[in-house]
Amino acid sequence: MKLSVSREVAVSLSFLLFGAGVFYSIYSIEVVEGVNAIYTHIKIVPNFVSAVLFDWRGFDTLGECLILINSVLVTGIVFGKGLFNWDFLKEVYGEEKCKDSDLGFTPIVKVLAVPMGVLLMALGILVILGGHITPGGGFQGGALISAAYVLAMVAFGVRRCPIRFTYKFLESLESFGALLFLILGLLGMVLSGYYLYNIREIWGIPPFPSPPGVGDVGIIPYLNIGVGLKVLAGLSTITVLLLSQRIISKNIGKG
Amino acid sequence: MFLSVIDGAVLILVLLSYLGALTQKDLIKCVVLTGLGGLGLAYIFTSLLAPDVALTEAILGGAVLPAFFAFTVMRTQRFDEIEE
Repeated sequence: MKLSVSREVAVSLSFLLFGAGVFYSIYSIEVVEGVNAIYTHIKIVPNFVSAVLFDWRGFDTLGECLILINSVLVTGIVFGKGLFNWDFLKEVYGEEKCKDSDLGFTPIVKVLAVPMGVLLMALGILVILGGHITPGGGFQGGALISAAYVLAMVAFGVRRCPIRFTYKFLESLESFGALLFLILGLLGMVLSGYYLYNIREIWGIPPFPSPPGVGDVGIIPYLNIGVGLKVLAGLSTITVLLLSQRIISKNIGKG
Repeated sequence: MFLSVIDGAVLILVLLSYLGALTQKDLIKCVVLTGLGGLGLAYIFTSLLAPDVALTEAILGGAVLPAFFAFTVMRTQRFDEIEE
């Protein structure tokens, strides 16, 4: 009891300190251009890393995506739908019937988890959509969103999680992201003859309307969105499969 | 870009944390040490002006990967036992 009280006091003190620090830094904010200044100084248009990732090495990015899809598939086979007659899994999951894995955190963590999750999701969307201008991209933004999902799942447990992605929705979202990437590659093949070719304009219209001064980006934002959806859904699927016992118990009951 | 004193200290910290993660018997402590090493690596990537890789390493190596390892430890057993 005494230990938990001291822990609460420590958490409140650190929360106050960090909150005061954040508010002070917001009050006297001064934006430093950082790495972007170096990028624009050397006149690399607009983000060199993104251009290399999606334009010059598009096939490598496709391979990375397929690796992630493979890992999610293997996790699904071991923990998800594929377990019907597996004795060791019955031993592992059969004892505790459908226990909700609420890890029992204090209200401070639970109250802080919701706005932090929302902030992380907004930052992830920002990183995905600005992936062709600023550092970041689809992979990083999708990982940020799925980190928010992991945070909410850990703080609240599976059943009371405020961010509700069902397993089916995540599965279809991942397939949709991968298909978007592949179909955009086909678009380049139709228009120019090369798979995953970056198209500058289709019949005079640029595919992504970017403001003047940024430069032509072609289909890179759409590829970013596809990769982001896929990574977000893949990592969240692994989280759901590892943390929820309901799907697994249901599948064991079937077998 | 040259490494500064702080970068050297962070490099040594990363090395020590990964060594500790290798030799640790308690798997939860091992997971936390892995996350610490990932965050240190993210700092080093940032100071080497590679923000894309730093962002990936900070999210995946500092948050998501330790979470997955912790879920797996929660599912299996906590201590690394060696049968003699």
